[in-house]
Amino acid sequence: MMLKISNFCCGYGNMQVVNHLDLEVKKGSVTGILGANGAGKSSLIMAIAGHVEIKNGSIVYNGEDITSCTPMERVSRGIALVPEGRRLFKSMSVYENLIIGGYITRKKDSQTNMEKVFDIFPILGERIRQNAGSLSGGEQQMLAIGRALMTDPKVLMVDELSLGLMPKAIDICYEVIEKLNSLDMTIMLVEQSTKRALQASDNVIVFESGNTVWKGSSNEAKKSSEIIDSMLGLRNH
Amino acid sequence: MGPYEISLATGVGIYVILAVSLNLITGYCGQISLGHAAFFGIGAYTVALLSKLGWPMYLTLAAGLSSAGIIGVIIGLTSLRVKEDFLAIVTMGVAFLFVGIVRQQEFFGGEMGISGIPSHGMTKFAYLCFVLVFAMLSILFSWYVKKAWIGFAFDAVADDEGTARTLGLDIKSYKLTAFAMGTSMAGLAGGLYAYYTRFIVPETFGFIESITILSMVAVGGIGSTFGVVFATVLLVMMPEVFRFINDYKLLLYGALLFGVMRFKPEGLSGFYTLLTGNKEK
Repeated sequence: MMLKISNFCCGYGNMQVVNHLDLEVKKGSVTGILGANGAGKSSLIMAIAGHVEIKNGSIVYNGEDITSCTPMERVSRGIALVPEGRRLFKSMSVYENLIIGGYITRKKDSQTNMEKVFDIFPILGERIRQNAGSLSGGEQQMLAIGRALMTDPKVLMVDELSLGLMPKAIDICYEVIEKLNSLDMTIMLVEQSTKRALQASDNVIVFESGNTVWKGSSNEAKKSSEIIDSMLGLRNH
Repeated sequence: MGPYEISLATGVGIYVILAVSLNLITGYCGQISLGHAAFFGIGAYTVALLSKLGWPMYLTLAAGLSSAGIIGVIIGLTSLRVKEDFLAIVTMGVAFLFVGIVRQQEFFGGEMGISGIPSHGMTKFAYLCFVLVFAMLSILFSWYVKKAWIGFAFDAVADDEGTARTLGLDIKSYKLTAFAMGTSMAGLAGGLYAYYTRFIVPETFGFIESITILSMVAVGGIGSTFGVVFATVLLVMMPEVFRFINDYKLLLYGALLFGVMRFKPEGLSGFYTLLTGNKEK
């Protein structure tokens, strides 16, 4: 098991946004985290990355309890996050963004990782000196994923992969997710585009107001209209 | 060079160190500071007091640099808890606090300041060269930081602290390093100033002085070493060359600060980019 999250609660100040979550993520799997706006999906992966306060429960990564680890320690253990909206350093070049992404790795490894990123996203190699802010939306998402890959992660968490992208760019990004998964990387996808996420995921977890309303295989999820409604926030209480 | 030109150039050299030092904190690392003159003052007062005790010049300057740097790191700790507008208010408080303390303490000379600071023992021209060497070293150091790995990290912290954290950057260390480097250099500038004037008063290191230094950085282009150096030379020289401006110096600095922020936030370095198509890196 790559990640084991038990009785997990997280939130901001007095507000709890994820309630008593139990989740197991298998090594080399793709887990879709689905739900309507404000369901707590992004907060969950931000908490796994160490950026949202954990109020209760534990996170065990590769057999090691990382609940109290700093974000830096989590990154160095192999947990990488592609934040929502890409959040690139827009005044910096593609090269500089990637170099910053490889902060925790040694210089030699950083160079190897950069070559791997250019193998996956050749367009980034062509745009190496270009400012990140001048890239198209799709290229920016590629750079955001590439920057996360610079840490040589074992678990890649992507927040809203398809947000604001044109269909062609979404296809490319999902192809990359499949490719990374084929290289045995564990992936967690937060998505509002349920159709694409269900296609790409092995397992899904559905959130509603911070509570887990369903979890199981994506094949099962595709068959249930009630689950699909939950994902879209249409379920009647 | 006559004594007047030597004196003017020495002042320019000291202000170059000061502006470049603030640029490290505010320009490179994105940590706004409205109290930089306090660190200039800490350096000046440390050097003034120790030199009067008979300490040699190189030791007093080292002490001025260190004392400003240590207090700078302590103030920098607040940047770990507050940012942007709130950090601006905290650092503004530091400027008032410093002047308030030295004004009230007899030990620091009170309102009258400290006079009779021993001479540096050089000719005025030799001292100008001495100051210019430090100014040049400050520029080279600043330029090196920009080019080095730490410069990338500062850029990332300034651009988006949250994202930098997701990549595993040790934000605390970088912020404190920026404060340590910038305030130490300001302390050194203070020490050189104390030997230059041989008389210091609290007003010299007040809030207005902090805004003056900030306007040098803003007019030059926040984050641009050469823009800041150019703006500093321009802003220090202008009131001296055009004497009628001298009485309106603060008005001029204020208007320039406002104008740059409103119409050309990239400052003079923005014009350089516009003319050449190259951004200073």
